[in-house]
Amino acid sequence: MNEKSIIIADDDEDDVELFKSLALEFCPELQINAVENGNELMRLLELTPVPNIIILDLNMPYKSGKECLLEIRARKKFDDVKVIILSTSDHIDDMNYCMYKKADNYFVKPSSIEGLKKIIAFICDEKSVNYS
Amino acid sequence: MEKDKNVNGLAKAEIKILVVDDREDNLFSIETILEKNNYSIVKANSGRSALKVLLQQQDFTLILMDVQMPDMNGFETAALIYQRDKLRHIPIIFITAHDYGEENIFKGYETGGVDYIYKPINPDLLRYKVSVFADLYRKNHQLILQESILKAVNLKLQKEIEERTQVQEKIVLLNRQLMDNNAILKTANEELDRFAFVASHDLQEPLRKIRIFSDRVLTLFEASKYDEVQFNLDKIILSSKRMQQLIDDLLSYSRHTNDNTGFEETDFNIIIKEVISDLDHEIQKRSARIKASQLPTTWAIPTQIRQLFQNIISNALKFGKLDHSPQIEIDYDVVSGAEIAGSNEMNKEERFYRIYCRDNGIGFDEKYAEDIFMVFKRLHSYNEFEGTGIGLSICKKIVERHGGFIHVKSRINEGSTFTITLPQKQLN
Repeated sequence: MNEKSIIIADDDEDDVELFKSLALEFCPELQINAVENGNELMRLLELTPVPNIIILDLNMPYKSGKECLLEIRARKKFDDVKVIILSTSDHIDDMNYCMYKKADNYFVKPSSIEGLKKIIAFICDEKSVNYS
Repeated sequence: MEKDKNVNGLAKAEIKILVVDDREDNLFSIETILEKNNYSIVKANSGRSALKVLLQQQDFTLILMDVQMPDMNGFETAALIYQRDKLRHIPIIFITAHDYGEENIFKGYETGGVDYIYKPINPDLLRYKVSVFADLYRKNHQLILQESILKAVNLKLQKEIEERTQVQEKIVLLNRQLMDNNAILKTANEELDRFAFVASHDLQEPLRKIRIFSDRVLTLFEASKYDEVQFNLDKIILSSKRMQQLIDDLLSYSRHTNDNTGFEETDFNIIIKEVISDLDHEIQKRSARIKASQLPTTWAIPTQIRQLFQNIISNALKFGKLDHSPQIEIDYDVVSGAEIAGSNEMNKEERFYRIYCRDNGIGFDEKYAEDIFMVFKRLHSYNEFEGTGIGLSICKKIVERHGGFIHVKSRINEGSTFTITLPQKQLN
């Protein structure tokens, strides 16, 4: 099993903790780093090796998920990184915008453990790195 | 019949002819000639009796006047008739046996006569001439009738125009009211939009937490992992509390929309004292120092002003630096409307109190200076700082209700200064 490195950017501690604990249970190969806003995410991306997957909340203080998405997609360095949006927003405009700006997937934050498990399973199965 | 031919009965004009002749047989023959035409004929056998008739009746279409009469001849009679204004419009045809010669004929025309008929009378000619005048009279009569109708219509039109002008003025007024109401509605709508957004996001958020942690508790029970249940139940309780706080704050925010009574002379010094005593516990805990200078007394709603300072001061306490005890300073100055950016032309002359509330807290990036007054807009996640993001939007609402403005200047790590500008005297 390949290890996959993930950065999750979300200002909601509960969501991050839930994600982490379920990931640990159902997809132990995920290496998870968490940041609580967009600024920290961009800083971390400069300092660490390029991750396989970035999970972005949209509504974050200082720098929103959308701003992060634009910055990430503007950098060649991050071409192979999967960007997955995980937001409370179920607004079609937000979804269209993110997919148009080349997010790889968009999930609305679920209200059940089952829902969250499915998302983790999806991320777990996501073929990582390079298919160039 | 001739009469019935008149258009729509508009000119139900009776043709009345006065025949003046001193000879009974002449009168009779003229009457006979004209009899068929249904004219109403009045006879007079002298100039004097003609004048007498004309004293009582003036509505003649035509006068047929013999020229040679004893006492007063036709011309003299005509001259007397035409002295009277009311009779001047009645045409006179002179009837004469002799050719008087140009001079006399001219005399007739000069007195106002219009035509001559010579004796012996040619009946066709007489009938023809009379009918010309009868037609003329009828047409005239019709014209007069139509004119009076036109006048009536005109009057009606004028009235309508007047009414319309009044209505238009009313419309302009109503339009202005409508525009005012529209502006109010627009603001209310924007607020509603914001509320809908809040309901769909901020209120959903703790609910989603309650659901997912309850779900978690269920799975933990199934897996018999009882030690983690407590942790997840705590999360559920926390989310419920948060939900309750959100609903309470939302209610208090919307209550401020409707409450517009209770303005009175309000001493801000007393208000600040009350707020400080209310926040005593928090102030002790943070070892904060609040220095309030002498503040003004002005026309305001005391409960709202109390809430305003309560929110701002507790905000300053909440966002104090961890390693410094909070220092809060409150003072004021007086400025004119002209010195305030964004005030409109009308209150350039007005005097304003400007109350400053400075803190030495963590501050924030000034590009968010507008955002922090919006409902539910938070610069920090609620994990970092508790609160719902409604406090400052209530402050803004209160200040605007008092006809004032609220601004903030801030620098990260250096603190914030809230400036509350209130008019010295409240316009009703």
